[in-house]
Amino acid sequence: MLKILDGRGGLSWALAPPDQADVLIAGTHGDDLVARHWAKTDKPLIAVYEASAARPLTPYTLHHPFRVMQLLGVLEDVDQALGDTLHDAARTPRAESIRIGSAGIDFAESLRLLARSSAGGNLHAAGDAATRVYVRDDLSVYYAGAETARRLTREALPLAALRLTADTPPPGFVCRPVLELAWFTGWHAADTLAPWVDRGATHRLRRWPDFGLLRGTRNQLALAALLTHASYSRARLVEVSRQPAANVDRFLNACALSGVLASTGDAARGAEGAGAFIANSAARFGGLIRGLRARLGLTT
Amino acid sequence: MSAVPRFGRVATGVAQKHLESFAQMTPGVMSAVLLSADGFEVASLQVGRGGAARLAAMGSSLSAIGSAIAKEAGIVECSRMIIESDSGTVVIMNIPDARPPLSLAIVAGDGGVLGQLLWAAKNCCIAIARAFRE
Amino acid sequence: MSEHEFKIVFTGPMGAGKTTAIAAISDEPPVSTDVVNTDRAAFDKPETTAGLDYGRIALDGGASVRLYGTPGQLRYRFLWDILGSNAAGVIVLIDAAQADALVQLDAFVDAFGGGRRAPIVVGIGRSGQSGALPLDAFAQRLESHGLTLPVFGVDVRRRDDVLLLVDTLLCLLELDDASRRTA
Repeated sequence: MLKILDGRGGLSWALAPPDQADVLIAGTHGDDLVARHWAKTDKPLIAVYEASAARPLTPYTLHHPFRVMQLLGVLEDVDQALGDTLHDAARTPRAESIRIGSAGIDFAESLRLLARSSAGGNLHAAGDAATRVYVRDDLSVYYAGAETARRLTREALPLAALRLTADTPPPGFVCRPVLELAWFTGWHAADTLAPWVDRGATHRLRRWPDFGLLRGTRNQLALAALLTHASYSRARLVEVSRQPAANVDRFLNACALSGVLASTGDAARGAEGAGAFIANSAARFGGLIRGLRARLGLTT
Repeated sequence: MSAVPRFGRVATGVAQKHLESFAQMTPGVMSAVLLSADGFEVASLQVGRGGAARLAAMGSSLSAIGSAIAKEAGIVECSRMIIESDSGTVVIMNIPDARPPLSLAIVAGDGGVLGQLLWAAKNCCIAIARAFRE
Repeated sequence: MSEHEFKIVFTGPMGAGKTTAIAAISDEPPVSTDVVNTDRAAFDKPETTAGLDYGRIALDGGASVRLYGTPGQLRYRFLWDILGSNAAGVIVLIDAAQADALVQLDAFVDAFGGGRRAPIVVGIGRSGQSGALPLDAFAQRLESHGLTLPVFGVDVRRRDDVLLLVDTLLCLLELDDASRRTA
């Protein structure tokens, strides 16, 4: 593999034993001990997974079988991240970086895995007394105290992973669509791309989230509109939408966790939509749209 | 699309007779449809099945839009609308005081005289109105 | 179409709330062509639209946005085509509690071009009610036809919900318009 790579990437890579390596490439059937030890370091792991398996919970993944160009793409990302880490160390650390094992991410991941397991009509729960959340495993509804249900739309709740439970929600708990829980958990998870979003992929909407329920903002509507027409990589979406990267990342995190995002291939191979869409261009309807929004009080 | 039972078999039968005699006595009449305000065919003459249903829906739309325009213009009630072309005429006339509200749509060729057509159509509407009040 | 106005069409079956939605955002009470409904079996309400609903939102500088509502019944299909031509966007309203709601969704989305002629936004009413179809059923239906249209649960008696539908339409319109220009 290294021979095939030689001369095709910006960097040269050499094979090294795990304790001396900068990057670990591991399959799901690989040595679990090595991977577990690796997880304690800050070094990147590239997880290789099969078509039928759930996407591993790491920022760098390769879908087996993969092409050399895909591997090169991931290695470039890794290289960039390693470079960023060096720069970041010299400046200030990132405000909110993702750490696997942190409570919010564990909860989100358990919710995501629930979507892939078969439903048996059971309840899964996370959190203690007041902030306890129950999720039905067919992902139809969740139960929470009224205040918890309100809070989770505004902030990330410190919830650990969901676990199967024989309890039933206490009386007085409200029953709400799971979409609400999934969306806001994804939205508040981080202001960078979450581990459950494939950073090398292009994304489009499989369907729109119910913004009637979620009260979508203008920025969210605009991003959804973009992803309706074509597939975009995360970088291109930031560029085309002219929205802050954190906004775009949160949106992708929320869409992916809600199961409305279709992520395919790798962006490097040009699967993206033509650059024809330019949001907010001074177009034929431009003035009318602005005027109508102003009249209806829809200005942001 | 026809909804005859809703409008009463007897009244519908009487209306059908009135349409037939109207067409026989009035030169130029090619077809006619008695329609409910919400676009159902009640009785019809000399039009194919699909044609009568379409004419009923279109006639009711025109009648409703005519009433809206009349109201907008402050002339209160629209009693009839006339669409004229070189080769014929379409008249849509409201049946006075019918419950449910009904209209008569008439298609006439260029053989007839408009005045005569309107006069005969008005009499036909009055006769039909009687049938639907009884 | 004029540079100074565009039209938005509200469509969907009888009783889905088209007239209500237009009234919620029109400057003045809309012109309506409601007539006596003789088909109480199809939908039990006293009146139904036979012609069109018409509302208007005046903008600064003499421009305006026209709002049209279509009749809901299939026999008025000819009016859907008339009102739909040159529409900047279409809002389809469906009542999830009506028995054939999914068939209606197909019929209206298809009649107005499936979002290819002009953007379509779908508002689903009463999807939370017992006995009504869940919102997912409508999204899935469109997905199975390969269509990605916004489908939102709404109550058009709430002005905010109508505004959400309009704002979404405008977001799609901005992209559509930009793509047409650069194509």
